[in-house]
Amino acid sequence: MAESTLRGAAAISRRSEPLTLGAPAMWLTVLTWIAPIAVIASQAYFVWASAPDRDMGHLQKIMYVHVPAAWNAFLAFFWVFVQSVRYLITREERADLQAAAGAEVGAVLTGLTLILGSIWGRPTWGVWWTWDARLTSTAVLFLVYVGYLALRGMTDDPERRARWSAAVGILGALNVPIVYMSVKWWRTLHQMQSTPSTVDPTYAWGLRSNSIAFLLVLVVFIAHRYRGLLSEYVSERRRDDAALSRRAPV
Amino acid sequence: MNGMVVDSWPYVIAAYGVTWVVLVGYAIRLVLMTRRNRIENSHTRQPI
Repeated sequence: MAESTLRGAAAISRRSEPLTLGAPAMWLTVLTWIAPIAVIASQAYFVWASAPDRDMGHLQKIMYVHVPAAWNAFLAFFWVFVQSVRYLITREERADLQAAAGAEVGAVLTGLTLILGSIWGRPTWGVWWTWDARLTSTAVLFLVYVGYLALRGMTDDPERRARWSAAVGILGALNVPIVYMSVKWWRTLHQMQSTPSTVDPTYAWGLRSNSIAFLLVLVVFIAHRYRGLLSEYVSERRRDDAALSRRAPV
Repeated sequence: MNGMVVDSWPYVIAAYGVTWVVLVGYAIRLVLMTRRNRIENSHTRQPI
């Protein structure tokens, strides 16, 4: 995703080379229209077509938004991990900006996952929240990335900001396998992972379809957020250069 | 669990409602951000 975004939408390169922001790539423009249509179509079809579960009734339909939101949040944090490692190796600003974009979208999806889980938990478990291993580890994951975003606002030095963010981004992503495995390791209240292989075949296609639709949204959100961060970065550098040139002796 | 849930639809509607509020809300944030950045960057186009 990153490389083609850069080719079409934004040309940014290493610190010493010029940074520019162009029009969005064609694939991003097309995907920006396709993604919401895919989500609406997939949700509408499977909410209407899927039969109520024997035990959960219509509550089962919440799985079509709760599980895709969680999976895609994990993917976003994997993206943060990859880009953070890339930044530490190459020191390219674009890797830092990609990681920041992934962290913000991942935090939004994790927050959504927690709210949806709570809405499902109230009628199923009788409580909005409990200190179950899966819920607690997901809440920790959410707080780590909210902290990541807060940390980025604490320093104006782009290099220090990128270095600190990369460290937190990598440490935060290490929590993802813990969240995923928490239902197996601690066996508290949350049921085992819902995947196409663990849910009833009747519901597997709904899960797949909605997850793919959410994936399209994830890609669109990260790509647009990246462009926004890139634009802010360009403005920041431009202001710094103007300030330096004003101070320079004649 | 059967019998415990009298009417599960309000929860389903709430879940999908929240989903759309979050997705549309974030999309609006991105649109506003893009618009603001475009205005800021329209003053000068040369690369830094």
